[in-house]
Amino acid sequence: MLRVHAPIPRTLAVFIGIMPFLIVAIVYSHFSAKRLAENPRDKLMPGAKQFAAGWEDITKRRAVGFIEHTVASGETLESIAAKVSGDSGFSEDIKSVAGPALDDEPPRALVVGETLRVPQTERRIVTDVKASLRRLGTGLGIGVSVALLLGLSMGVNTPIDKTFNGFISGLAKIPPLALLPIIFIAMGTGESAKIAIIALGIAPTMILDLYMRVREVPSELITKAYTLGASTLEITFKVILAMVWPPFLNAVRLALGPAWVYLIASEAIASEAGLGYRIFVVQRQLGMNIILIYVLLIMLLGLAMDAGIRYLITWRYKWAEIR
Amino acid sequence: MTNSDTSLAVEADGIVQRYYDTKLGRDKVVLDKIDFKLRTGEFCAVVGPSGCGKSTFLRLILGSESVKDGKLSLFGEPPSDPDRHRGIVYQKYSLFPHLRVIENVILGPELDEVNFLMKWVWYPGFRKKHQRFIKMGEEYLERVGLKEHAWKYPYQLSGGQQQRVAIAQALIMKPRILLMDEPFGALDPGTRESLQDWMIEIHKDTKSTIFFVTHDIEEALLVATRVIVLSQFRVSDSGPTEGSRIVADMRTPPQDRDALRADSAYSKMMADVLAAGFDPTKPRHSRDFLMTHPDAIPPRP
Repeated sequence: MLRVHAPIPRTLAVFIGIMPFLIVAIVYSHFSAKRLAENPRDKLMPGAKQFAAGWEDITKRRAVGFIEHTVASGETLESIAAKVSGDSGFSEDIKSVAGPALDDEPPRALVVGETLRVPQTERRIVTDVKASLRRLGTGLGIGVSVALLLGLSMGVNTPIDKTFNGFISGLAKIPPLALLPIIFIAMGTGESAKIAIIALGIAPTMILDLYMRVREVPSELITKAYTLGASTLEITFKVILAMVWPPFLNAVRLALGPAWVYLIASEAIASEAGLGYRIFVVQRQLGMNIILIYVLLIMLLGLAMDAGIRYLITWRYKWAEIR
Repeated sequence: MTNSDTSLAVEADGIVQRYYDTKLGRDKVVLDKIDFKLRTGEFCAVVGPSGCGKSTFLRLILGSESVKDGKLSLFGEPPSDPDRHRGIVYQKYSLFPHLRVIENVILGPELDEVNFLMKWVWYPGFRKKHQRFIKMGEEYLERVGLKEHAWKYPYQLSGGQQQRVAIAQALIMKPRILLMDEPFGALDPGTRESLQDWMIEIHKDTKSTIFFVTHDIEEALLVATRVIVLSQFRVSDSGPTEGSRIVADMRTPPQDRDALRADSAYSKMMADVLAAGFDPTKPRHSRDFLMTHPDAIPPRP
């Protein structure tokens, strides 16, 4: 078993793969229990009860906005609450929307055709995940598209290569987090700044990676494609892009890590929702129970994306692994 | 020399190729004023010691390099960049790894007839064409005995099978000249023999013009109808020389494996070829070059 790449039984492999997680969990709960025994209000290492409270907090529905709703015949406040607001338990707020002046009076009757401003509710964790994934997805999408376009054309076309090579290499040397203030000053602190920092952070290395992959395509294959009557455009897409596509997907997979870094960093500085935002907000109240849940959630999201791309490569592009 | 002779596939008039050598600090001549004529339908093998520039010569004809001096014509015209009239089979990187075997074979006709951007506009028409190409590709694969492997990827085939697919891929274009750069160099002896026999058959059937570079003299004498020896081990009246020339140019005995083993003519030729170009201690003088082929051009002094 000590020999290089020596095989081991599958069950053993799974067991020792789970072990580090188990050890961390056991060590954590031991010290957490000890601290909580000394001081039940300790916030540093929350136990099951505190985690449950945290979970309840982040899954509680809160108003995230309003929606205009025209009352149809047969609708009641409860049915509108369930349909529009997404939570029948939230009807208290709706009552206030259609409500009477005084609390103990029954709500007034609804008029068919009247327009109500109904509060829309969402669980906080869903709001945060949605906000973060939208930023991450858009940033990745833009970064990956730019990398694909520029990396491929630089690898194929010499003038484009000579124009951009030095510039992109220089850009790749700047730590993207150093650009964060510049982008916030130039673009404000809105969504576009956060997306820009993700795209700008991952694009240069991906461009250079793709460029190198393209240059590694054997010249014999390119010559051969020309002898088979291919045009330069056809070779670019049908030969070169097709061949570098699986390694490019792998580069996207590796770029997920940095992309998360830039996302959390930009959310921490200026935001209204998002995983990074929430972590830094609850930090002020030592909300370790919520922070840890969010950190675990980020880990799971990252693992899922990673596994998704890896599965796509092995399942769809088997030739690329073996070559 | 005139270019009017249409039966000439390749015509080289004093072609020179040299590369910059960092150790010498100057250009080093690889091919030195080569004169050569190749008739269509001829199966010409090129042998020579390593570093003699056989593959360079092939690349010049292929068009992936251009001559530094002299004149090279292909079918009466100066060589362009590689195009669909020249087929190429390499020793390595012979197939596109991301395409299935049949897709590799029909890649040429498909690229030739279907504009890949229009493919999405005229999809129904393209589908019909695609079916026709698949059928054609299957015919070619049947001919090379690999029909049952049509939908596999190249990595799932053995080296010999891959080379056969590569040859089918080149032949389906019906190139005016087929260039082969040590195509069987990486194969085991058994596979190599069967592919050699198969090449002989292909040449008999199709009468293709083939330019076949190999380091294996026996292989050259067997498969080809003509063999040329390129060698840098030579002297001239003015003393030592740099760069290779054709030191022997001969018609080979009939393409027959059994005869090869028995016939004494083969062993004599083998010795001739070895003596002509493969001994660095005994460089050959240009007046002793073995130019017995009818198309051979008398050596320059």
